Amino acid sequence: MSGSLKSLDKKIAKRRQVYKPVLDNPFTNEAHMWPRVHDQPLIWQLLQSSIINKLIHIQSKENYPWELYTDFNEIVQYLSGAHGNSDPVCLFVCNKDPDVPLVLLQQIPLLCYMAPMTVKLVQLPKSAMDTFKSVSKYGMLLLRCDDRVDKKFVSQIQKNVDLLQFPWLNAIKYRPTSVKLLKTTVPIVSKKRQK
Amino acid sequence: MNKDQAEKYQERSLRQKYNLLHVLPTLNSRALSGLYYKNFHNSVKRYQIMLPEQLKSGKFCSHCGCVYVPNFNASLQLTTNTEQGDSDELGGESMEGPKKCIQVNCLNCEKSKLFEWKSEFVVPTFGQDVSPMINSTSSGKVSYAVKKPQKSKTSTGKERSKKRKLNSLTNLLSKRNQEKKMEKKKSSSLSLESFMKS
Repeated sequence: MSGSLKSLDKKIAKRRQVYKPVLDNPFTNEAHMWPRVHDQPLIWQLLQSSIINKLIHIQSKENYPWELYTDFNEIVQYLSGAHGNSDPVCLFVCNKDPDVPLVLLQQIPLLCYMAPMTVKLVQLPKSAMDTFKSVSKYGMLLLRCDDRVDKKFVSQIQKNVDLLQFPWLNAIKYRPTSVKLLKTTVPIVSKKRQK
Repeated sequence: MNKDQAEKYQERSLRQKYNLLHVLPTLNSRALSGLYYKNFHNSVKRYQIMLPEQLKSGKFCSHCGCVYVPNFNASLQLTTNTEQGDSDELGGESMEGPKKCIQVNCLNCEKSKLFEWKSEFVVPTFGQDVSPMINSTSSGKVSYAVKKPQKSKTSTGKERSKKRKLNSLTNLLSKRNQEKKMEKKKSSSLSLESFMKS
């Protein structure tokens, strides 16, 4: 018993805390599904001042100065490429408020990643839904970055919001090349020696 | 298998099965997803792990087991309950007024599923975070169990060894030698005093 205890003491004394680098899991990045917004209060302030405050005063949707969608079904149709547009798009989502269900919040990053156009997914801070309820009841706002939209606003969003990262979806997004065989004729080259 | 090794194996196997579920959409065969999905859930039941709500509903198709990828193998829609008519999932609540529902159509097995519009805020807990919690608690227990017997046994062993050493012959001889040395020192001091006096 004493021998084994001594050996245990020696083993414990020799061991020390070491951190080894291990490859991170590329398939599941739940912690990074929503791209990070570096300057959250600035973006929220810009969104309020340049977009939402103007929308509140306008009564009907036909008078909106920009092309934007607030209904979820319309957003899904637009992101599926039904309209054939290729302009960049910004999607603002209140993902930290209880009014938006989890099932929707799960699918929105994937939907934005699989869209044919480039989508900037912007997550809004907590209690942003209170301001959004007057504009859209689903807590989402899809804004097409046209010439009509303020360029400084768009550049600020481009600068402060990270890109979407789904490495396990790369193989799905880029389809394999469809190769077909074409039937033609080629002249036969004779290899006679010229005398 | 050892307890630590068993827990590491559980974590590793669960993680691998979860990863394989995400690889399946890249393959062209659709029949495999159900097999892997069932295998994953069987291991979850065996190891008695509580999955977060995100994984239970809304991420995988409950019929064929594939991962919902919108615009690839799934399509999303918002509908009201009255439009559907026959809604089995919300049977109890269909008596009330028209309700919002999230309809996910799986394009692989061509079946749609309705999800209720829940407005409850759920704190997100991820699947990977659960297993290190288990490991940390288990390692804490193991370390706690190891320390106690060591302390008690080592103290008794030391005491016994001390007693044995005192009783041995070599120690007795060394004690006698020490006594002799002390006497010599005394005589030497006396001689010094005598020298000083003279």
